[in-house]
This record gives sequence, structure tokens and C-alpha cells, in this order.
Amino acid sequence: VRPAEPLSLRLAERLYDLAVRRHAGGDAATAAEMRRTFRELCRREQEARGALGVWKRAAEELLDLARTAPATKDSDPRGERGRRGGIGQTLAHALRGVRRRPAYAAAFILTMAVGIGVNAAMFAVVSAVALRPLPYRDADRLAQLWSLNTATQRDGPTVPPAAFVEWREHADLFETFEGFGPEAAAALSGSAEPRQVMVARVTTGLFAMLGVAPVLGRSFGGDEGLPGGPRVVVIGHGLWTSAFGSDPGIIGRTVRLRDEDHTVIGVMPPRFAFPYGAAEAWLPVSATPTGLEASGALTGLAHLRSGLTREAAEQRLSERLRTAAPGTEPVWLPMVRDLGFMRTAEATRRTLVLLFGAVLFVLLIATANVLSLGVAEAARRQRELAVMATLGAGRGRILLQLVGEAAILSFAGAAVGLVLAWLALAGLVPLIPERLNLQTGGRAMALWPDGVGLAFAAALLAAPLVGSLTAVLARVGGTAPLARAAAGADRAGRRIQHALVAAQVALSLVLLAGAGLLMDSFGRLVRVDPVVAADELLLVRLQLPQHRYPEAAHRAAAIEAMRETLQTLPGVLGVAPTSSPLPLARARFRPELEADGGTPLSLDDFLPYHEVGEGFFETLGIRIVRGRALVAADAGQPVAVVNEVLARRLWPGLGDPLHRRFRVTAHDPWLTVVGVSEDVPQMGLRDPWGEGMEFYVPAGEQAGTRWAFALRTVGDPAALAEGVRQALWAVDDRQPIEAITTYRAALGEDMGRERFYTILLAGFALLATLLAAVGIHAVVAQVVLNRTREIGIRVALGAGKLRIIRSATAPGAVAVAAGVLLGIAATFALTRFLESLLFGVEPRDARVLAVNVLAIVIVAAAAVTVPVRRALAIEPVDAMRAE
Amino acid sequence: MPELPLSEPVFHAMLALMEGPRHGYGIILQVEAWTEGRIRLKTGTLYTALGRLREAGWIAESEGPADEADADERRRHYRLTPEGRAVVRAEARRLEAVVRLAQSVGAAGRGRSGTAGAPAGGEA
Repeated sequence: VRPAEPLSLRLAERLYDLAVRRHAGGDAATAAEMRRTFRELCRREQEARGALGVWKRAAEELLDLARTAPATKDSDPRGERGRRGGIGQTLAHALRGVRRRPAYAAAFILTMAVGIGVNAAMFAVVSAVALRPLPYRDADRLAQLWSLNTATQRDGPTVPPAAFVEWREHADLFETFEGFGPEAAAALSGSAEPRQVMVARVTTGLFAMLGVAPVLGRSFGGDEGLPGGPRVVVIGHGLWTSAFGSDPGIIGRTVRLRDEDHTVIGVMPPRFAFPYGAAEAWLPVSATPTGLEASGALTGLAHLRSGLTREAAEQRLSERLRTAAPGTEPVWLPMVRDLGFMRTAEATRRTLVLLFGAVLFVLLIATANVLSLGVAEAARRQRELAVMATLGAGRGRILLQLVGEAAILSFAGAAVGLVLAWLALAGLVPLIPERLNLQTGGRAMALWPDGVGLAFAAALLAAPLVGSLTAVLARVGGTAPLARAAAGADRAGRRIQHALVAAQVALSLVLLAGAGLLMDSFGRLVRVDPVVAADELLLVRLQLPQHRYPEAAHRAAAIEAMRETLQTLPGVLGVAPTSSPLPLARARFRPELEADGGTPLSLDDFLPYHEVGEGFFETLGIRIVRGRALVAADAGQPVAVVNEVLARRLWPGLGDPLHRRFRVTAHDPWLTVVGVSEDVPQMGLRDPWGEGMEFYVPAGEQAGTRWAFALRTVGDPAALAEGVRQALWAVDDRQPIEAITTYRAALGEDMGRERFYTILLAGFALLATLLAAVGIHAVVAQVVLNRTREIGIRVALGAGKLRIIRSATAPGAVAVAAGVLLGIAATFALTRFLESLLFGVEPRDARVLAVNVLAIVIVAAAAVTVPVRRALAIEPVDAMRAE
Repeated sequence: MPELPLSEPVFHAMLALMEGPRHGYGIILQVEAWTEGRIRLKTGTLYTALGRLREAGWIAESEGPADEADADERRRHYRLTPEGRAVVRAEARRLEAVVRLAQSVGAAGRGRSGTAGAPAGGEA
């Protein structure tokens, strides 16, 4: 029994075994002897130099075997010298072969490049967003810690300070244990203009835990994050670039954050925006009782010990907490969660993977084109290859030559494709709408390494496929007489080409249908009447800094002061402040509505509502159908305006809900309905929150920090933006403005997701159709070329044009028809995956499909026109000379 | 028949057999030791050459040396035939002549004949 040997040794011997069998010909005894010798050599290397030595030796030996391998029997008989053709020589031959066919080479390379280019670009995005783990140290073991209050049975995304300190001690469960707060808006002043930045609090060890270090300066440490400790901030790369001009001297400088001086101690790497992709600066929290007590509850983030599942960690810690205080239930129990919003939403990831599936179709079509090119090439090269075979070149040599050529072309295609991919990626990334919330944790959407890997994998697959297909079709090494072999190959080749055309048509049709559905759906979205006077509205969003306006009354006064100033601006007809982040609403989660004399109603998602001041409905252009709008005197009163859907749902069959009361949950006050407003399509348009129900209450007493102003303007609202900015700063020069945008633009922003998917899929479909058209054209052109002589004779014999057109296109037409049928079936099977993206159109919409079938038939017809015209122009005399 | 002059690896392999029968692994070790690792014979090259030398009748398979009692008995050993010895001697003489010639034109030092390798093999 042999002792266990290192894997590298066994692998090397296995490889050698495979190679030596061929080397020794039929001589098993010599092969066995060589194996024994090789094994001895490897063991010696293993002892002297370890695995590396073994691999070096094995590589040398394998190369040597390849170099000294005796040629197969039918190979060229020139003896040892002739057999010394290594990889280099094969490639040199192949390169010569490629250079003799520049047109074929160009077509091959370009087709591959297009197919590979879009795929590599798309894959770079998909892998960064959906496939790769977050680029944090041991991201697969990272988990969030939330807590459950056993007294109230309420859970929340934070861990109270005392529990945080206690849980952190369980080092056998958690290898690391840090914490962070949510991203919150803060005013950054001291630079040119006051500016709103998103700030997150993190415990001082968090960056180290993630394995992400500042590119400039240092991370937190010492007594930073303790009450009374030094006020320091680490800023993001984006903020450093945009607010501080990438000043390398930023470290040590003082900035004013929330009206307090902070010293900048570090700059994080580009795109790092922990936790949820919006943070631009980080403030320290010391993970000590005093530090945590001062900062308030944080969300826990921990590396679970390897092998420990989230469930197990949660269960074990809970058990320990229970046994530590026997008889009493501990107040706080851990909830160990996945990374949640730190990752891109599951639905978005799925859609991106789906889109990647679509772009793979483009690669398949390109591959079909390349194969089709290979088939045509085989027909052209039969004579050459037959001559090579007659002169004694072995089957293996010819195959090697053909695969070698295909490899050179494929890799050239991949290389050109990567250049295209780089351009495509540069175009694609800025198109990605913010609303998609793509989270990569700072990973760049770059071609290296995944896009490049994909490109080379595609080339690696294509080369042997095309090479061997060409060889098979050219009947390499067959014994049939040249002429007969040629005829047979022609027939087989045509069959393959037609199958390829059918496949291309089917694939293109699926993409066209998918793109058609999205475009139709997008068109419907854009045409939805926003009801409000979207083209005359300017929106301003801002957050009042909590530390400057601690009381609701302060905030209400500040908003009123801003409203008055804005009202005086020339061109402004009306100003409506609201606490809703217009055009979005605020929302109540899982309402359980009760209504006077109506039906109770509970929802599993959000019910949108707006807190509005006087003039809101008038300014936005929302009609009051019944009753009255909300006025200033309503502030603080339990009154509401409901929209028509809500009125209908709460009091079905009741014509007039005025003066009826309803409440959102049993904990809320009863609200009296004073008016009914017309329905406004909510943002998101598809699957509206609250099933289209909405209500309005007066703003006032409870004024929060988030506000929006809607300004009804005369003329282009965008023109007023700068004036509005200056007017607001005239009121308070330290107030940052979150956003100024037109209502129309905000609507477009909301449709960014739909627009992005539509543009992508339409682009893929266009490319696919173009490639398919090129493929169809090539096939028909070849039919015409091969049959030049026959067509010429027919013309000479007086055949009508129609007959000739028919005979030239009939096989192609059959292939296209087959492809259409196949495509329709595939479309029905696949478009249901688009369902969640569609608005107002069914995934099996027959009209959309019909339009696309028509489109692809027209494209196919156009693709055959050129070669058919050539066929019609054939002169009988020229045709005779064709052979 | 192997081509003459012998290529360097083949010549070294035959030299290794001058001292007595060896198996393939032994030949590789011996040549590596002599040349301080400069020539690392590979199995493909070695066994191809051994096959050809045997066809030419310059070497023959043999029993292993008596003292290698514990050696794997399936191991194949090779020894030089008298004809093979003659070829090695002839080759050595040819190389001597080459070295003398090189010295006379100042291309090689007198006292360092040991480092004068054979001309690169293969060219006829």
C-alpha cells in the first residue's frame, strides 16, 4: 500500500499517464518504464522543492513528450526533423492560413468582437452587482445583528448599547463585532456653499473589520468616538473630489459638519459608501459602554465564526442569555440577519441576470454566424485540404491547422471585443439610474477580471467548435474521391447553415419580442397623465438640521419664512410646502383602517399620505371633487382630504363621505373627511402603494425635518432654480438644499429603471437582429455563389425571374419560417420572465409579437435582396466561366 | 540509425552507461550530477533516444547489477554493446580534436577542457 501522496504529485502523474500512452505508441512496456522513471523524478522534486518543483518538472516533461512524440502513421514521412513541429510551428502555419483569407478573417473577428463585446460589458456589471460577494473581508461570514424586545415583542434594526456590549463578548460566536448607524443627512458648511451630505456613524474598528483602509490618512482610533474625544471625520472619495477638489492636503483640515468643527483624518477609496451606498462621510463611535451610550443604538455587524450559520449563532446566543438569567426572560434577544440593503435588492439582481441571459442570445447568434462562416469556408477549402491530405498530411495535422486558425481568429475577436466592451461599459455605466440602487460595496464595474474571463472563455469554446466543424465538413481524411466528397460536404454544410439561420431568427425574435413588450410598456408609462400640472412645477427638497431646529414650532416657523420668501419671487404663482418627498408620498406601513359607517380595511403594504399646507391642491393642480381643500386654519385639527379611491373603498356605495370619520389604526386619532380629491397617479405608477388609496392631512404641529416645496411657475420651471436657491440662502445661508428639480424630471427619474431596462433590451435586440441579418445574407449569398453556373444555364434556357428568385431563396425562406415558429414558441415560454417589468401590457401580447415577426421577416427579406439581385444579373456566359 | 555526430543529451546518456548498466532514472541522475544540473534529461527525449540506440545495436537491455538486490525487479536496465562503446570512444576523439582546434585559434583555455561541451546536437 502506497502512503498518501500530495495531490500535486498524483495530478502530475495522471497527466503524464495520459500523455505517455500516445507517446510510446503501442509499446506498453516502455510506457510503464517511462511512468516509473517520471514518478521517481517527481518524488525527488517533491522532497527537494515541494509542489512547485513537481509542477515545473511535470511541465518540462509534458512539453518534451509533445516534442518528441512520434508522428502518426499517415503523417509526413520526413523523419525526426519534420516531426519537430511544436505549438509555435502550428501557430505559425495557422497564422499564414489566416492571412491568406483576409475577408473571412475580418468577418470572423468582427462578428466575434460584437458578440463578446456586449457580453463582457454586461457581465462586468452583472458580476459586480449580482454575482460577486461584497468586496469586504470574508463577506460570506458577515451578518447584521438586530434585536427583539421580548417585553413588547417588537423587533428593530438596532441593538441597544447595553446588549451591544454584552453580545460583543461572545467571541466564540463572533470573530468580530462592530456597529453602524443609518445614513443620515447632515449639513456640511465651511466650503463654498452649504451642502447636504449623507453621514453614517461607525464603530472605530469597522473599517478594519471590512478590510477596507483609507487611501489617504488613517482610520479611527484612540479615544475618538468617546464623548469629549477629538471631533474627527473620515470622508468618502466622491466628497473629497467634489467638495475639496481632491486636495491631497485635506488631512488635518477642519470642516464644519452639523455646525461643529471636525478634523478630516482620512479619505476612503473610490465608491466605498458603507452601509447602503449613499454615505459620503463617517463619524466614529467608540464600541465601549460610554461611547455606545452617547451615540445610541447601532446596528451590529459581525463576522460569524466559520462554520456557524446565522440561525445557529442566533440560537446559541439566545440560549446563553436565557441561562445567564434563569427564571426571567431577557429583555433583548439577538436577531442575526443577512446583509439586507447592503446588497442590491433581490428583484433587481434577478432582472440583471435575466438581462444577461438576453445578451447571451447575442453571443449565441454571433457564434452561429461564425459557424456559418466556417461552413462556407470549409466548402471553399475542400480542394486545398484534399491536396494537403494527398501530400501526406495526417488527419491530426490538418485538424490542428484548422483549429489553430479558428483559435487565432477567436482570440483576435475576443481582444477586439474587449475594446468594444470597454467602450460599451463606459456608455452603459452612466445610464444606470440611481433608482436601481445597485450596491457593489465599492467594487468597480470593470472588465477585469470577469469580463475578460468571459471573453476568453467564449474564444476558447469557439475555436475548437469552428475548427472541427470545418474539418468534419471538409471530410478531412475521408477516402471518397475529391468531387464526391465536395458534393457531400456542400449538402451537409447547407443543412447546418439553414439550421443556424433558423436558430438565429428564433433567438432574434425572442429578443425583439421582449424589447417590444418593454418599449410598449414604457410608452404607456410615459403617456400616463400625471394629473398634476407637471410641466409648471418646480420641486425643492431639503432637510432642516435637527440641532438648529430642535422644536417642531421652530421648524414650522422656518418653513413659513421660506415659503413667504419664495412666494415673492417673480414668476412664482404659488408655493406649497409639504412634508412629503414630492413627487413621492409618505406612507404608513400595514394600516388597519376603520371608518364611521364604512368597511374596515387592512393592507399588507404601505398607505400613502401627505402632510400639506394651505394652497397645496391649487398649486399642484389637483382638483377637489367634493367638499373643500385644506386651509391654514386646519393646522392641528383632526381633518383630512381623501382621494376618490379611498373614499370608494372605505364607504362603498356611499355617494358623499363628507363629515364621516376614519382612522388609520386603533392608535391613531379619528380624522374627519372635509374633502375628496381626484386621484393622482402615484410615483412608481405600476403597483401603486395602498392600491391607489391616498389621503391628505394638514401639516403643522408635528412638523418634521424633511420638507419639500412645490412651486407653480409661469413658463419653464427649471429657469427659476437658481433664483430659488439664492432666495433660500438669503433666509438661511447655512441651509443645504437636497435637490431642485422639475416635477417632470422627477417623474422621469422614477421611470429611470424602466427606461434603463428598455434601452438595454432594445439595444440587444437591435444587435441580435443585425447579426442575424448578416448571417442570413451570408447564407443566401453562398447559395447563389455555389449555383452561379446552374442559374446561368437556367437563364440561358429562358427561365423566368420568379423561378430563379424562388430557387435561390426557397431553402433560406424555409429556414426563416422555421426560425419564426421556433421563436414564437420560445417567446411564449420566456417573456413571462418580463412580467414584473411590464405596465399595462400582457407578456403574451399577440399584437407586439405580430409586429416583431413582421419586422424580422422584413429584415430577412432585405438580407436576401442583395444576393438575389446578383443572381438575376448573372450572364450565362460568365456563369460558364465560374468553375 | 541515430545521426552522427551524437546530440549532446544522447552522448551524455551513453557516457553514463560506460560505467555499467543503468536504468533510465539512473541515467538522468548521473547526467544531472555530472553537469551540475546543466543538462536535465527528460523522459520523452531519453526513451526516444534509448529506443533508437537499441535499434542501432549500440545498447542492449540487461540484468541489473547484482548489488541492487532490493531494486524493483521489473525495472529495465540498459548497457552499452561493444559497438556502442566504440561509438562513444570515436565521438570522444572527435570532440578532443574539436577542443584542440578551438585551443589553437584561442577559443578555449588549455587547462579547462572539462568544460568544453560537445557542439549543440542536431545540426548535420
